[in-house]
Amino acid sequence: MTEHLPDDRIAECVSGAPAPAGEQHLRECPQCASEVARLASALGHFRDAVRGLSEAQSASALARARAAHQRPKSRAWFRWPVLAAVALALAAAPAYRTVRDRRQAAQALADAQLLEQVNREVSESVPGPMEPLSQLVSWDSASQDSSPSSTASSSQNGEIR
Amino acid sequence: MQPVASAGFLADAAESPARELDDFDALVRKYWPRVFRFALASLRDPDAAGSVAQDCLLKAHCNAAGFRGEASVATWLMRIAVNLVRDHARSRRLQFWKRLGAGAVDWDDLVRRIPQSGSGPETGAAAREQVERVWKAAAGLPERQRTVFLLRFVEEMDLLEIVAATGLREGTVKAHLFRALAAVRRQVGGAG
Repeated sequence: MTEHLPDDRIAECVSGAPAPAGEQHLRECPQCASEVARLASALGHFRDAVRGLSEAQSASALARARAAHQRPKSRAWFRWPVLAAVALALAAAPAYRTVRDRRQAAQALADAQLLEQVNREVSESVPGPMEPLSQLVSWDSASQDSSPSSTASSSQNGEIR
Repeated sequence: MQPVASAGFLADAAESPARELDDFDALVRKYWPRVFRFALASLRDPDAAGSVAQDCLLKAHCNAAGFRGEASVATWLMRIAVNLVRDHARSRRLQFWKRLGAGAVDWDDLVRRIPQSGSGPETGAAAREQVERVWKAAAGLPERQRTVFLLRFVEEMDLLEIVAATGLREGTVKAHLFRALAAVRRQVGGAG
């Protein structure tokens, strides 16, 4: 036998799906059979090594993945108080505004009353300390109003009352 | 007399894929090792592999309604894992496959996993050398060839399962597999 299996036939045999002609050739050609056995052996060692490595690291990788998956949850627990505080502040805002508005309204009323009092005092024709004098003046005025001609004549006469 | 459901029917219903996907803890217990193994062999980074495996199982669990039962749950999961590995590898391509032997997986740790029973020191050394060469050859494969290669020779999936897991046609899967084997064969020291 001079011709050996080509690469694709060797690959078929190693893959476990040899064509009938390939199987026949392997039975008759020790060199090709050895080549297939050598490659299959290398692949078997490779499979065993990868599986062993995976088994050794699988559990720890799963633990790390679970820890990483749970980490956001633990952060969420820390977020709850903050979220609750924000919600409380938002809920209390209308009540705070009501109290503040009431205070502002009371202050405005007091200011208005004070302003009204000031206006009243300012608008008085005679200041408080001069009130007694104004009473005298008004009495004089009243008498003048009753006899204006007599007042004029008294002044002209140089009389002082 | 009305027919009654057999015990076998009830058992099948209890183990139906939909229910299997609904129970996330059971899904993790049963399929984590396999999905993680494929991701680890593909990405060579335990952290990245764990992340991919977690995403894969979560996606499967959240999209259980989309599982039509055309393939097994394992094959469906591998299809999700293949896509996730592809996305992950593409996003971090320069960090992994361009640096032979410098991946996150400890090479000494890998070769320690080769079974030693029944083999002498010389045979063990030869096996370690073979594993190293296959490992390096797999590192140099194009993405699809590597995926098909790992599904066939690490996960031991048959061609039709690989077709279902990759979404490739059978002829394409064969072509990728044969090219990958030719590259591995060259690295291991055969003809080619």
